[in-house]
Formats: sequence, structure tokens, C-alpha cells
Amino acid sequence: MTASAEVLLVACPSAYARALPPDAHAVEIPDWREPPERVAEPELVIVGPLEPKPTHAAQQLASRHPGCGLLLVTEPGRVPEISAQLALTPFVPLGTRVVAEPQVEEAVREVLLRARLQRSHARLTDRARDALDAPTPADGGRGGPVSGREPRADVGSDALLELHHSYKTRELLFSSVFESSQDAIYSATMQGTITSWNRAAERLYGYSAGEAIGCHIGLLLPEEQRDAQNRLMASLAEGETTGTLEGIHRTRGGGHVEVSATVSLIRDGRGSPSGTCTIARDLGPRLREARAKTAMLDGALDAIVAMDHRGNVVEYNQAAEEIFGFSAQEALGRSVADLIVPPELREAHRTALARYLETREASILGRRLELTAVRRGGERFPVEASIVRLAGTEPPLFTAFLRDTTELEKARRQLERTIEDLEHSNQDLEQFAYVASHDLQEPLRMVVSYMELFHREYGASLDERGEQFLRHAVDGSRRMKALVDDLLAYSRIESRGTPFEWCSSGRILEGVLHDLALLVEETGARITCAPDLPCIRADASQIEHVFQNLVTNAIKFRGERPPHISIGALRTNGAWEFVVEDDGIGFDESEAGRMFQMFQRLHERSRFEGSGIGLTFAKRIVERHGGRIWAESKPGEGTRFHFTIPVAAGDPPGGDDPEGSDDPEDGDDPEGGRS
Amino acid sequence: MIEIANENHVIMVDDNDGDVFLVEQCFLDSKLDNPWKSFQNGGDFLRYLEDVRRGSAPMPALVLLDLNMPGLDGLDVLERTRRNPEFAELPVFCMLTSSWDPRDKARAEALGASGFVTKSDNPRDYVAFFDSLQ
Repeated sequence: MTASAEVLLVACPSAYARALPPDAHAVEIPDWREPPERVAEPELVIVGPLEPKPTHAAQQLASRHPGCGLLLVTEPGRVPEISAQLALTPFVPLGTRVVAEPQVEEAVREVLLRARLQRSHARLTDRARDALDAPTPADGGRGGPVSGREPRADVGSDALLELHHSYKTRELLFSSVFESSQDAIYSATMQGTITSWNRAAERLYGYSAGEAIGCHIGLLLPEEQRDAQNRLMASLAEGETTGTLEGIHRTRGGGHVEVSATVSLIRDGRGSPSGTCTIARDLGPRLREARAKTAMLDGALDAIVAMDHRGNVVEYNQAAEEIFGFSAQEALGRSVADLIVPPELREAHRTALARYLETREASILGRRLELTAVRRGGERFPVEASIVRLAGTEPPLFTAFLRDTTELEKARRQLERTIEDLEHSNQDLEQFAYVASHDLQEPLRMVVSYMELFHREYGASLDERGEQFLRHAVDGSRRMKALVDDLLAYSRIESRGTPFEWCSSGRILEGVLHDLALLVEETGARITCAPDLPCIRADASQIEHVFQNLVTNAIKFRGERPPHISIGALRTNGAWEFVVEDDGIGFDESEAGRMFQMFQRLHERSRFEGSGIGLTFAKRIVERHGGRIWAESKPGEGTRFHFTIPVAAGDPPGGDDPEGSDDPEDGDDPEGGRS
Repeated sequence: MIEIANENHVIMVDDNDGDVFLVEQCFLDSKLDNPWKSFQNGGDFLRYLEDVRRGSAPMPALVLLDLNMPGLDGLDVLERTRRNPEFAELPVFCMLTSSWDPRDKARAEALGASGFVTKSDNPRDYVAFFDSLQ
């Protein structure tokens, strides 16, 4: 024997120390959880009856002191039970014995001997191996110096070495699998006492290994699960090797966790069941994901229906239930064609699916479709849909997103009808305005002409009062005629408007100023035009009206001094904005709205002539062109009129001057004959 | 510049007797001294033209034709008048209301109108017109 053996006595009564062989050096510790400061590698560890969880202690101690012998001492009545548990406990070395107190002495000797034997053989074989690998000495390696024994000669030590090796490997393998697994793994006896408990189980259930081992497995099962568990155990006993249960397990502190637990039978060397091993997986994350997905699908307003390659419904959300009238239960597994496709289109649907499966091509995937679907009861209704094939699925899965557009269609048709009605109404109004003014002209003309005639023929015989009467009558009818003429022209802005063409606003303005030359001279008005007035796409004569109206107004509504008027244009988003600015009497901007209404006047009639339709006219013309007109002003501080004409796409022909010029340097020879 | 063709009738064809009377007064005021004749509708005028063809009525000096008449309107009358080569040179002035449609004017020109008179509310205009034909 070698030097004195270290024996670690854990939770043993002090009497055991005396039972040890004289050469054994005993180190006593009451609790394995509190290891002593220094223990050389013990040859033997004895776990005494004072340890409440002997198998767990054994496991921990064995892993702490690999290679040591192990002995458990317990009450006589518990020996079989503890033995059975021990058989299922990892790390516990072969040959670990469980005895009752009276057999301690004997067991110690046996275990010590075996342990020493194992150890020495291990050391011997290591040395033998080293010798094998070392360079051969001068005598050729025969009768080597170390032990005088050929390493291969001893079959017994080899077999022991093999056993030792394979055990160690298995143990390492098992321990790494056991502890590193993400799933909870725990074993129990046939009666249900937990004998091992990995780290994942600690995390899942909240009990440490120390707490769980030795407890009954029922700790983990709520009432509802116990029946299922019992049935599973029964089937295992009858010959099944594994079974899986999904359900709720209890965790520390009354919590719950959803698990999928696979229970396997463990048999001992003779093949009888000795216990169970359970692998429990937390379903929580997967279930949460599934629940989140369902919540998302059910929150959608559109029906979401998934179809497999056989044409059957595999997904069906809440909106689908409402839209189609079939519950998910009724729909799942049924053929999409039979359920929601109108009868006359079912063949086409099946054909398209078949063709896709063959060619992997379908024109209807991934774009907006307008289809007809049927609900429960056969009612047909319009849907807007898009169908995609779920990437990466093989065989393919398809998802359709469907929107019931019945209401939308109704609204659309309603809108079309309203637009039609409005167009008719507009036409009617235009016609009315036209007819009214046209038919009013003639009688008016009669009144005016005859009053003129009367004046010619009988004017001489009228006295001053008579003259006045006549003059007022003529005046009134003249004004009425002007109104009717204006009304007529107004009603014709659309109907008599010519198609838009490129025209130079600068030229149009020139023309207007030319026409107003007399008025300009009379009033001493100074008019400035910006040099860069743009080319626009418009009805030139109508734009002429607008300029005429605005410039005339600017001159008309002047202050005491001769008016200054400036006209320019600037480019704003998508439009040309023309500005006609004067320094005249201005007006209160809050009245601006009235200004554009028909026949409204902002100033007293006697001061300013005009029927008051001018601005309404201008507004309608500008709006016909797609623009806006507005005014800014302050009383006494002049006025700025703005109107916009949208910029048209493309360029005006001939650069900035679409109407050409008389410049002889132009390409064409004005004398005829082309250059 | 059109001139009055002869000393025969100046004829006005117009359904509106107010206009007819007015223009007649203006005509009487003017420097022309032709006789005056008027017809209330196109049909009557065309029957008169038949008489002219047969020789039982003189060739008119001038015709003022209102375009806006019910039944046979001015353009129809003009067309039928010009069908006869005899009346190819007959001065026919079409009378336009102040709301005249450029399309009507164009058609009248195409059918051979000799000129246009816009119905005015000022008698002076008619007098000036007649004076200009002298």
C-alpha cells in the first residue's frame, strides 16, 4: 500500500472515523456543501446517514473528486431505495456501494481496496504507455528499465484500463449532454422520486438540483396533469418505450409553464424498468410566437386565406370568417375552390393551380386582382385581392389577401352617377343662362331702338322734363342690355371657348394696352410691363379679356393722382402667377370674396361705371384654364390682383415666341422660297 | 363696296314686325328712295321670287334677310334663292342678331351672302347703312 489514504467523511457520525483502517486519514465534514479548505485527492468519500439527500451529495462529491471511491451509508430500510436512485445518478462511479451502518467497516475496506487497485493500475498503465512512446534505449527495448514488464502482457490490467477509459468517456459525454442541454432533463425512480436534475431544469422549474432531487415528481404537475401522467406511466410499464405529453407544469412559487415532456423508460442491466428520464421543453416562446402571429392575422381587416398545393384551406383568419360567413373550423381543410370561388370559375382555378405546380408560373401572383367571390349561401360579391406564394415553401403554400369591395363598388357607381348628374345640371345651367340671355336680347333691343326712334322723331316736341324721362328710360334699358350681353358672354366661356394653344402673354398684354390707349392717355396712367412675360397654353382671346378687365379696373379705381400700374409674372409650383398691381384706392380685403361674385360691387355705383360682371368673368376664364384668381389690398394702399395659369408640359414652338417674328434673320425667307 | 342694284324694291324678310317697322322707318329717313316691301316669312318671299322669274314682278334692288326665323330660316331661304342662276347676283344682306354665332356667319358666306348687317338698337346705324349703299 502507498502512503496514508485520505478518507473524506461527509455527514457521518464520529464513530465512523474509528471504523477506518489504521492507515486511513479521516477528514470529517458535516456538509458537503461546505468543503474543507484542503483535501488532497481523497481515495474514499463516505456519505453518511446524516445527509438528507444522499444521492445528490454523492453526485456532487463524485464530480468534485473524480476517481475516488464512494460509499453511502443509510438506514437499513432505505438501502434498496437509495441503491436504485444511485443507479440513475450521473457521475457516481461503478462500484459505489450503499450499505447500512453495521456493514460500514467491511464496505470501507472493499471500496478502498478497489479504489486503490484502480488507481495503481491507472498509474501503471500510464507509465507503461509513456515507456512505449519514449525512444528505445541502447539495448533495443527488451527488458526495459521501468517496470521489467511488457505493457501488453497483462490482460487483466488492460481490461481494467479499457473499462476505466470507456467509463470516463461515457461519463464526460453524458455530463456534457446532460448539463449543456437547453431542455430540462431529469430522471426519477418508478415511484416518482427525482434522482437527477440538470441546469435547464433548474431554470425551467425554479428549483435548484439540491432542492429537487429526492422530491416526488408530482411537485411539478398540477392536478389536471396527473391523470395524463399516470396513464403515460402505465403505458410505459406495459412496454412502450417513450411517450410525450403537452401541458402545463407547475413552477416554484405557484407559477406555470407550458411544456412538451417526453418521458422515456430506463431499464437496468437485467432489462427491468428502473426509472424514467424526462426531457421537458418550454413551449412558451413557440406558443407566444404562434399566438402573436394569430393575433396579427386576426387584427387584419382583410380576409387572409392560405392554401396548400392541393388547393385546401390551411389558414383562415377572423376577417375571413366575417367576410365569407364560414367559421375557421368549417373552412380549414376544405377546398378553396368549393368554398369561395364562384361555380363557373372553379375549373379555371383548379387548372391554374395545376399549371403552376407544373411550370411554376402564374400570371395572377403578386398583383392586384379584381375578382368575384361567393359567401356562404352562394351570394356573389366583388373582391379586390392579391395572391402570393410563400417564399421557401415546398410544396408551395399560397396566401391570398382579399378585400370585400361591395361597398367600394357601390360608392364608385354612386360617384359616377353624381358626376353625370352634375354634368347634366351644369349643362342645363349653361343652357339656361344662354337661353335666358339670348331671348332677353331681342325684347331689349326693341325697347331701346324704339326709344331712340321716338327721340329722333318726337324729341323736338319734348320739354326738358320729357327729355329727362326719356333719357332715364334709355339709360336703364342700355344698362340692362349690357347686363344681358355680359351674362350671355359668361355663359359661353366654356361652350364658346377655343382649345388652348401656345400664346405669348406679353403679346396679349400689348394688344390690350393698345386698345386701352385712349383711356390711358385720358387718365395719365403709367403702365409698366415686365419684360419676361411667359408663353402659356391658353385661349388667347379669353386671357385678353382677363387682362383687359384687370387693367381697366386698375385704371378705374385710381386715387387722386394718375395711377401707376405694374404687370409681371413669376413661376410658382407648376404655374405662372401673373400680378397686376396698382396704387389706387384699394379695398377692404375682408370683402374680397364678394368681389368675384356676380354683379357685386364694392364701391358706389355713381362713381364707377360697369355692370360688375367683369371680375366674375375673369374668374370663370381663369378657372377654365385650371388656375386661381385672388386679390390683396388695403384701403388707400392700392391693390394686387393675382391669377395663375398652369404651366403646360413641353416647350412652346420657336423658343419664347411661338407666333414667330418679322425678323428677316429667321430661317424662312419672307419673300417666298425657302433658304 | 356693294351698291344698290336698281330702283326697284328694297325687301326685308323678317318674322319680327317690330324690327321690320323700325328698319322701314330708318329706310325712309335715309337717302335711298326705292319702294319698300317686306315679308313675314321665307316661304312668302320665295313665292314672290317665282313671280319675279315669271316676269310678273320686278327684280328687287336689295334683300335684307333675317337669319333667325322659325320654319324656313334665313340660311334655307338664301340657299334656295341662290339655286336660281337669275338671282346669283341679287344683293342679299343677312341680318345677324348681336349674339351671332361665327358658325352661322361662315355658313351664310358659304351660301353666297353678299354682306351682313348686325341688328342694332340705334336707328342711326340702319340709316348709315342705307346711305352707304347709294
